[in-house]
Amino acid sequence: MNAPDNTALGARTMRRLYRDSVALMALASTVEKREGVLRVGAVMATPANLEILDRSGMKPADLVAAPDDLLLVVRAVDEATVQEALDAAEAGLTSTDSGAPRTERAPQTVLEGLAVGDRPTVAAVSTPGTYAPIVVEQALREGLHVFCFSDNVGLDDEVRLKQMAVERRLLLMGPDCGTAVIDRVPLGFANVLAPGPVAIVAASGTGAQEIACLLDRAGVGVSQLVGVGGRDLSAAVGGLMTNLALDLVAEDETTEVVVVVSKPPAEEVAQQLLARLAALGKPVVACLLGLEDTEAPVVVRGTLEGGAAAAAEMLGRSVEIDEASVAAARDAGTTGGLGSVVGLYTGGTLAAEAKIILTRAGVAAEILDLGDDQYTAGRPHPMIDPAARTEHLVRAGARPDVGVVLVDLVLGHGASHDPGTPLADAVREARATAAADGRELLVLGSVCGTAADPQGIDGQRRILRDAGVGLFPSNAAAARHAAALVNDQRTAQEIA
Amino acid sequence: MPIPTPPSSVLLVNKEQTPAPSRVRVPLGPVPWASGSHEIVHVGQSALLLARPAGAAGGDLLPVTSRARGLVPGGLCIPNEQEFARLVRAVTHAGHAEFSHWQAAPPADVMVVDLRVRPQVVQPEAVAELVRLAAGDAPARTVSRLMDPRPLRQLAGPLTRAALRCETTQLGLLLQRLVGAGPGATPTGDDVIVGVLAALHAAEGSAAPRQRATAARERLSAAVLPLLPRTTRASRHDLTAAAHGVFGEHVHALLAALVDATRVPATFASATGWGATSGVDLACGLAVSASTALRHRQLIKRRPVSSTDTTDRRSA
Repeated sequence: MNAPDNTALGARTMRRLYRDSVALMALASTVEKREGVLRVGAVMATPANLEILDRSGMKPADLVAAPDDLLLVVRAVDEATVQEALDAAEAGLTSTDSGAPRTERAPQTVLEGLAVGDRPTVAAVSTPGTYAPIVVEQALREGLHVFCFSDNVGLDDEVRLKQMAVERRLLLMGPDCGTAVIDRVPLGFANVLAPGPVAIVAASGTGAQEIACLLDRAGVGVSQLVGVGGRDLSAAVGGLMTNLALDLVAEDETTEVVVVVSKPPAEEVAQQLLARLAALGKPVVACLLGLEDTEAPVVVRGTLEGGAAAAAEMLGRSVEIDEASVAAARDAGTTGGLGSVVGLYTGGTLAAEAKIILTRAGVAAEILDLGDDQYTAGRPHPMIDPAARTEHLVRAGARPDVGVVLVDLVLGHGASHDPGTPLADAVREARATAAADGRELLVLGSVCGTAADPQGIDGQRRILRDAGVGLFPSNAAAARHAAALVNDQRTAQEIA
Repeated sequence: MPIPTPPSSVLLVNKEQTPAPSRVRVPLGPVPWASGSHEIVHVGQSALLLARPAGAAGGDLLPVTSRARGLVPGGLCIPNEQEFARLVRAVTHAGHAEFSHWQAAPPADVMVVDLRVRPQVVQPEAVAELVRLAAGDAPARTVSRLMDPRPLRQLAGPLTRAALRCETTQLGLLLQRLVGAGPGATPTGDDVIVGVLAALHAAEGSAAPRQRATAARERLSAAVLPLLPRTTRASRHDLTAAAHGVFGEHVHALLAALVDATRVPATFASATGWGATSGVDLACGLAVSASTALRHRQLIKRRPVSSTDTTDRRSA
């Protein structure tokens, strides 16, 4: 180990170890984010790679390795940090091994999983979309419920597989299902939720997360969170899985209130859904984004915040958007030098909610869902790799027409272990770029998470506040404030 | 919520011998399975990498792939997902693969696939589109420079030019930089070379004169082979096959897109899912090389080429 510039360098050689390159890239990216770590490499120890490491000052002097060895190298602020990072990287590489080097021991197929598992009941499918139907069908035929994270699955396949699932009274959550919590087991992106009386049936992943987290803040737990995939309430799919999920939560003794959350369904499906909900036999909130709020025959709310508030009220609780915290968030930014509003979201439904609120307020805005297929082809979802949003944020800071940027930060299982830091770094860079140009960039947002989430919600909020982000108690509150700022400015300009 | 317990699934596998699937796809030539114990090199999502017994014909490795991965040189593709799963499970349980009984009772349906690349007339618009898409691909911002494949991808053009212009010293220097370089079990530099070789094979149907592309491909192949000890076992397998004009079905898919521009976006999108960077590395090598080969006619007109194939213009 050497330390030519007061930093420390260390390496670990894994003899004749092959690992999937996706896993290696993700591992290097994750370890590089650890505090005190400066650079990380996870490469095969070929002569060419050793030369690259040497030129980069990343090759320890005493290194001995062969081309079929996997090499981990870490440069960090001190030796202890190097060793901790190497330990973490090695643990990440070998977590699926159990004494058999060079062989991944995790089940590779549904049949393998069934053979080695302890009577599993749910299969989680996260293959490329082209192949997901094969795996899903296999799982259904084996009597498993399916959580299908894969996207880009054909609509015909979705309909066929959901019909097959309904015939077997099995849940097919997805395709493109981001979140679920079944019998307290989190699947996909899921917050750590206390058990409670509300069941959420969701055709929208981050929509369900936002509602669950707002309920959590009101002291209301969740009995089941069943994702059904974003197309389930389309005319083609006809709510096949929503109906089955409603059957199940209606029978579920722990569920007292049911929330259905979705972007607006197809008209004919909406009518059937509302009729079904009216006859469910339990209090229901239909949170259908963009629709007008109504009270009968079913309680309908057009925002996530409204849906959560209505469900909490049914249980005698309230989702309070604390005025003091809103005021604090307002104080974090100023109201001067505004331009247009840009939304850079990792959560699609949070983006949709912001757009609805801004549109209702008469404010045109450019709201991007960076988790959409067009931004994620070949890359991790921005909730897994939050740096994917960085370039967009930095670019917004350089745009003279942009005055307000809306962001979200989603915590929980499946999300990055520290999504706040890269977002905060990008915010600082964007704000500095704008400031250098004589402008002030206002960044407003909210954190979708619970106190029990592994990232630590208080720490994540602190990181964002320190970077100058105006944090609001809900995504809706942040969007409302952005709309109010733009309208105030518009009014002021008209008066002038 | 009442969640039914699934039937307990029992896989009846013979742990001593690797079960023969009903249907397999194999490359042209002798059947890839051999007698003797095959050591497990790697078990991946869609491929099982086995080491052939010492002395067995057909190279060092036997890649057994699923339909998702497609057939690769010297390999064995099992299109039925359940049968692939059963074989992987049997092999991982046994700790090795044993195909001896396949000699007596081979799979009922053996489809032979010719993985050799043929010269083809590429469509310049398709090449340009693939170049544009490949050049626009960027890894996540957080990827360390050590893991960034882009500097290596940029060598595809110079490598092709050096091969076409008979610049042997430059060719050697570029290969020293590329072979075994970059992230992945098949490092980026190797995937780029495989892409360049595939393009030069295909370009023989487009470049003029054809003999020049043929000579460039032969020159590059000959220069790569001595450098194989500088890279990984998996890459050695791929590069050896590519040097002999044999490529995996995923490479053939990219080549097919070069004759039909409408297929480029979907094919490239698919390539982005082949490993973390391998698909784009291949696409980049292939597209840039094809583009360079197409333009080479003009280069020839402007710049007469030496009558010998060993002149290094840079050093001359």
